[in-house]
Amino acid sequence: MSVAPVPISRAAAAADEVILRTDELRTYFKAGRAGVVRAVEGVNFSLRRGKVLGIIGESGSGKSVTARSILRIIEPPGYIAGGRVLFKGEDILQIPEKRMRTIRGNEISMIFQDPTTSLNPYMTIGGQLTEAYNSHTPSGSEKARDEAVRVLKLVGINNGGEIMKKYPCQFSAGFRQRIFIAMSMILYPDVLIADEPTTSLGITIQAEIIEALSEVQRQTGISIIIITHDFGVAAQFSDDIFVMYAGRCVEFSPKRDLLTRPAHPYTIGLIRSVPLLEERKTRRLKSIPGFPPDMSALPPGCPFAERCEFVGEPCREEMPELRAVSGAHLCACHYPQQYNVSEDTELGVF
Amino acid sequence: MLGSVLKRLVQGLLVTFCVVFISFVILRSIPGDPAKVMAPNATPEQQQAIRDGMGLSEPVLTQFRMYVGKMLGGDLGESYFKSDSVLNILGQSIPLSAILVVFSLLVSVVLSLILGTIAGTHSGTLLDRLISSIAVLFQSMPNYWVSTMLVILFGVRAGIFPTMGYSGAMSCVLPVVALVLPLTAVLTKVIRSSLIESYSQEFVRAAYARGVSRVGAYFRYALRNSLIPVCISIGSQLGFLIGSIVVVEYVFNFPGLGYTALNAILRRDYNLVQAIIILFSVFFVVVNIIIDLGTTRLDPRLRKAEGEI
Amino acid sequence: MGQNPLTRLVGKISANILLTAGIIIVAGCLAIAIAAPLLAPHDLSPNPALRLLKPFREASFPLGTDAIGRDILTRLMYGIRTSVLIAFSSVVLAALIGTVVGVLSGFSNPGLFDTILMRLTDVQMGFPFVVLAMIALTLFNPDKTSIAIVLSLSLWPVYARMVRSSVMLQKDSDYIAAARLMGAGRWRIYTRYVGRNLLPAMLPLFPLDIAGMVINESLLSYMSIGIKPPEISIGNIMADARGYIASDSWYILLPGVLLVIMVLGLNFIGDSLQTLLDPSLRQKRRG
Repeated sequence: MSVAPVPISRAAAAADEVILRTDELRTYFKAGRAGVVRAVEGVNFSLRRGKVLGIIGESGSGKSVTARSILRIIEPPGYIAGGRVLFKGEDILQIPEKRMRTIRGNEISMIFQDPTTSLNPYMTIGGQLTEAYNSHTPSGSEKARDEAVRVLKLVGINNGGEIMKKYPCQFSAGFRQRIFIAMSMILYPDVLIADEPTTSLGITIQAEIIEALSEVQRQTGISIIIITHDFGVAAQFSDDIFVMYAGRCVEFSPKRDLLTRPAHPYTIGLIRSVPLLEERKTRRLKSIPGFPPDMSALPPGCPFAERCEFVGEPCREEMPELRAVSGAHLCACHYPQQYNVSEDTELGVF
Repeated sequence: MLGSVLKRLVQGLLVTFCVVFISFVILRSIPGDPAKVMAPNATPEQQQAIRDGMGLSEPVLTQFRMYVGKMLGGDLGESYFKSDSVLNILGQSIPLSAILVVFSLLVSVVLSLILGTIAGTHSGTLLDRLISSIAVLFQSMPNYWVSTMLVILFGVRAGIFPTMGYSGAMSCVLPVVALVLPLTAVLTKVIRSSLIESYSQEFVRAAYARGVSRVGAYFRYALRNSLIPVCISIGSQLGFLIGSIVVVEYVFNFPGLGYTALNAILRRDYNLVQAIIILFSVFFVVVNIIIDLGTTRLDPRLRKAEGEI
Repeated sequence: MGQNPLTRLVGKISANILLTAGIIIVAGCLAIAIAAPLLAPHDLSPNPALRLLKPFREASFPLGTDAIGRDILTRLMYGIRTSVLIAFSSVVLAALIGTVVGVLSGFSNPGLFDTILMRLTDVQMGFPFVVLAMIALTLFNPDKTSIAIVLSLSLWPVYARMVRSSVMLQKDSDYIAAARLMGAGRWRIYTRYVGRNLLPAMLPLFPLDIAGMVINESLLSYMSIGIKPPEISIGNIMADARGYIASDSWYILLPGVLLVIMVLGLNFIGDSLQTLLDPSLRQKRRG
């Protein structure tokens, strides 16, 4: 495997304990008079404690909506249409909003895509950093400040006291994203959802941010969901990978299985289209033909059928179930493929 | 900070000077001779004497030099008609107009904050539609017509409030209402749309994601970020308010600055008109400076651009 | 925030209802303005026998008669004609002056020329409109032309500033640079690029400002410094009516209601256009 180095073992907490699980999560958006966009349609995945789960998909595949649904910060015209989100065994879609608020930022927190828009330009860094702390704990501002300085050190910012008096506009985007990571870590939550944390940043900054996230993960043993459309990021950083297409889960598996033996034609297509520096001379990138489907008018069968090279009779009529292809490796396809990527020289994937 | 204040002050002074100069020249070229207005039956020689006495026979530039000289000494001259010094007349009418401005601003800001918040946080609902529609309705009503309607409704018919002149606090009620209605309508619309704008920003969602409550997000994010557009529009509405005051005072015969100004213009009371124009432009310049500095202070990005932080 | 499908629906329709209502009202006013001499049921000669006839009493004088027995409906029609003409031409004039000043100012931005022009707009805006109009209208004979000029005097700085800030935002943009590289001349850039991007911002302003000018024109006439009889404007009809507010308050109500309807129509159009043309209000968010 020629993907960038992966830390082999992370702070091994209680092995394989599932801390967050979604069960048939569905989030829809009202569109027009009677139309509904099924942005998330029956998503199932589980996040193991202390592990990193990568959610991969093209833009518009429902990744961010999934993340926001977990925190219940979907805004109209969007709404959660059904399913369960089990956090430490409890369905947090059912608890009252007031109690949900004690979970947000405290037990589950989130990093947003674009640090230039997700920080309030009119508030000091310190004001926003300590906000979660102040709204969840009764202790004084002095304590909040100390916590903020400590958590800033965690992401490699050592002059925290100075920075907190300043405003977001005084820092670069990459630096703001570090600050945002610190902000979401201030109460040492159990789960951190990173929604495309590197997408809006330059390539070298991306690496720094991923490095900072790994460092945070290594030091705290937090469970992370990282949402990305960048296969490289997911491959480098996660333990499990969850592939989304058109609001549905198409493949969910431990990373190694998924990268070496992708079963879903869409995953295979994604892997084929990853540019790898080492391979540049010998292989040409292959893009997936066609376009993602119109989410407001999905066909009855598999949403990928139109673009799939292995498409068969049942694909256009029946939505395939998520089934095990081997052990923990799940795939939603009528014709799961059996590619062994590392040996597949013809495709030239790895 | 100090540098930009100074720069704005100097520019403001220049603007005021231009206003004074232009209005001075224009006023003296208005057809109609104060001497004839004051003493219509006097002989030409007597009228010439009046003109000489007021310094009106001199060339305009000489008159202007004399005027500025006196003005810097704090002397704005005598009113030609009220046989009183301009300063005294202004001293009587300014407080009355100030009451109208201050009260209508206060009431409008409070009312529009409430209504704008309701509409902005329920955008798209029937309630929002209702508030916005009423706002458009009141915005579409000319000030003078609203004033006249108020006179008919509360003055002529019911006789509850005095509708003419000034006779104590009750006389201010109807003029203030007439000023408040359109002002509230405009500010409500501004607050509503800037709240909607703020709520659409990603950082509000980021705040929710870290457990900030709806109320907390309203005060710390939505409202706070709406302050700048709201302040700017209050500033621009102040200019409009001054214009409205002239109208409303005219309809209610309310002896404030606007009413005095109108009568002064009609009577060619140069010194009084001149002083009022100076007052208006100084007021406007000062308000603009305050708004400029205020928005810079409120917006760290502007402060950064100004090199303050 | 509490948006359910019903209210969203209402929102969508009402935006269009308002626009439609506005267009109908304004089209009606325009038709009356153009065809007033044809539509008017009576001529404008006084008739002492019919002083202050109340409205809705007699079919031939549906809106009553004024103090010297002239048909109010007829007078209102001619009043609309004057108001529309003056308001429209003053906005066009202001937009023209404002655009020219704004473009020149914006392109010469850090410079003396720009500073002078902008301070000039300061001076202009620093003058309360009514005072300015009073002085100007005592200087010049208050006929339609001079009133339109006076009204546009109060308005052009608004356009100048808007155009200037838009030009300043655009002139350093990549597509202007690209157009320059492609060899586009100065005028082509002014008209094709800057102009095209200005139009969406300016378009909603026209109806809104025409509404404002209708109000201001009637205000001047109401204060007897605008249109003088025998010319008719809604404002001087109201000025007439002002003498009868105690005995015949319907008299001042009629032109007022008409004026408000006209202004509302214009505001509906302006507001709807603003909503329709503002991309930030139209955007849909998806995950």
